[in-house]
Amino acid sequence: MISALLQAGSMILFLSAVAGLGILLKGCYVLRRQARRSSHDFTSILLKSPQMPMVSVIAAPADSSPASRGFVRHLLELHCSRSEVVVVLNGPSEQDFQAWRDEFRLQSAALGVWESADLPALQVLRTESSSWSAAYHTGLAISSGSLIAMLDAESQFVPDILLRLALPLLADEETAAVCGTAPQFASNSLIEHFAGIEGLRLYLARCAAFAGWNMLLPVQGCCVLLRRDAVVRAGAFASPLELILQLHGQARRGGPPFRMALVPEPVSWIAPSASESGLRHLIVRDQQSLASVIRHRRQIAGGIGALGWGLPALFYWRMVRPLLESAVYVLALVAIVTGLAPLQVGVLALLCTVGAGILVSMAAVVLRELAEYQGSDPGRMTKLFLASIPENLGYRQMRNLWLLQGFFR
Amino acid sequence: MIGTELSLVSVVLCGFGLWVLGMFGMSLLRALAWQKKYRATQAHLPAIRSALVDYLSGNEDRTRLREFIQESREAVAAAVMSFEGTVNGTARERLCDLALELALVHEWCQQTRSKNVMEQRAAYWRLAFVCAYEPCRRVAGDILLLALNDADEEVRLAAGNAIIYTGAVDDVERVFEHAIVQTQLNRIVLSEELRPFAVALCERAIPKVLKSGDAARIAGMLHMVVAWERAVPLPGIGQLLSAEDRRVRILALQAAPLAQDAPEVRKGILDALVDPDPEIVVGGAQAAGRLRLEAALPTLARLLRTGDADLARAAASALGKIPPRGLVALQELTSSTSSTAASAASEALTKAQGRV
Repeated sequence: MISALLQAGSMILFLSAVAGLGILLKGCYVLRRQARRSSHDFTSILLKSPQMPMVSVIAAPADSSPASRGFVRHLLELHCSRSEVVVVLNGPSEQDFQAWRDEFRLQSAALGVWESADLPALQVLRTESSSWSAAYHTGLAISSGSLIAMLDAESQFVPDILLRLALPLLADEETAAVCGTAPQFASNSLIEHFAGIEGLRLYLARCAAFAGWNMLLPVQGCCVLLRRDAVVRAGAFASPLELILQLHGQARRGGPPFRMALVPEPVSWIAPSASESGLRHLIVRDQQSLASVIRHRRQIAGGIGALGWGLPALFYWRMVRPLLESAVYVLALVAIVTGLAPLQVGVLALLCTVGAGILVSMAAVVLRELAEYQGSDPGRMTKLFLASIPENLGYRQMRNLWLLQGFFR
Repeated sequence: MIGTELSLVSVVLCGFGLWVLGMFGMSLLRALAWQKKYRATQAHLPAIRSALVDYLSGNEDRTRLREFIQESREAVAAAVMSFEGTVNGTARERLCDLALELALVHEWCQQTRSKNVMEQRAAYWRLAFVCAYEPCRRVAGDILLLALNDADEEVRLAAGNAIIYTGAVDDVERVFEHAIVQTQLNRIVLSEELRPFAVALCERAIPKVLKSGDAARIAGMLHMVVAWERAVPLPGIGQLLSAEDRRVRILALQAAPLAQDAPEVRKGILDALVDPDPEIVVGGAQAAGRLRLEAALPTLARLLRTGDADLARAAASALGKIPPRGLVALQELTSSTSSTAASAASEALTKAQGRV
């Protein structure tokens, strides 16, 4: 009985790996097509064009820490001929607000609206403490841009990100939103290699493949640019992820069509973690945002089907598969030690999880390489390729536990 | 049963593994080849650029450049193109002449027929750069004109850019007519190059577009006019301000401050201020502000008092641009009983006083 259960579980995991490979192939195909789409850099033309739509970068910093203020300074340095930064301070204490006032030399412009004496592009809105969504919509109300940018404080981004993200919106009127990211690599330690492979899988599957099926959702490290009417149409949302899901859901339920394009360029990214705790933090954070969406699914148009099969598939991949895999490991070990199952069952389980996992990770490295028209650094590619082996011998099992922890936290 | 499953999984994994290894080998070879080519180009580039700078500053000795072209044609082509946007006038002509002499222009013409879309696009952009020089245009011949109808959008764009350099009004008109039905991005890219021909286009091409009655083409044309941001003798603007198509009307309101001042333009703007469509009202307020239209003051003040937040802000902003009476009105409205009006008036007044 236990043996049969273990065999069934292993085969499910094996089929999951095969499906994962299929998704990676789709991602490679989409990236290859994207690479053909445009090769010329138009950002310098956009930078000086009066026809560049106004972009409002709306940020709702959680506190007044130097990091938050630094983030706003970084936003003010973005290259765009027509842009503004709207900072929504959601119920700050007097001390916190004073920190913002001192940093940007704020002067009262209207009721609750503050402007900087030095930086004309900055508007600060001080609101009563409310939900993230309400604060964001208040910021939206005083912003004047026809494009709205959402940038993640934990991400790093290039100064011309707004111009690069605006290109697909200007090239196609039906595209309502754009998400831009590409993984970055560091190759000093094994953990950085694992983070690199993690980023590759995420990029090929959740970015590129999902974009190909028009199911693209913002991922960690990406920045999003949307048309204003889309943000207004979405109504209340608790995070950019929920906002995009809401728009996908509305479109699937007969609302206005929604398409989010991917800019597969290193315009915005999360720095590869150099430590195990950093990597764990990223995985748990991503998992928590997914768990939050699943918990709030009733408030999203279309519910769990807002993204078609996308959201159930993500739930399976990020929650059910790690749970099943961990259970198979434990059960197989107990069953083999107690003699309830033959050793071959353990071998099958390892082949279906570790063996298949190594090959899927290796395929991610190779497919990313094939998606590009130009070759990348051969040394880095080889290191990532070889790191796929240790990645599945210990790290994979630990990552399963992190995923479960992130989901239930 | 377990034996069958093990065999099946092993066979599939072995097949998969062989495929992955094969692909990895192929990718590695490609990456190595690319790296070698890239390093060679990068190694030569500073020396080639230095030789080019010498040449552009008047040195007629081209021996070094001829040596470089023997070693790496791609590196020389990349170095020539690295001057794009930095040289103009005689220096650009010298550079184009050199490209012609080194047979790079002929090579790029051949590459426009390449099956590799990236190579093809690069060739068109390179031709667009050198076609500022008449002898290069003669070599390119009809390639660029034919490319205006290419299936690839970027090729069409590059061709349009190159054709504008010819300066021949017929060709420029053709690019303009082509551009107005393209995406907003294409219009933005081409509008900059078309700006010097704005007056000529207003005389011939724009009346033709207006005559067509096609709202999409008219909207594209107005987009282009707004992008030029220069005073133009725009024919028929009065009629466009009362057009049935909402998009055309909004764009006409943006273009109105750039066109010649005429009673029908003023009437069109004043009519827009009392339109039921809020977006048209906002457009009307912006146009009135830019034209400092004193006749619009009462309507703007009413909009500020009674309009919603967006309308109030647009009206307040327009009033702030019409000194001194507009500023007086704003001053009075800062103490309005409506908090929206008071806030918008106060904000606009601060901005206007800052400008003063």
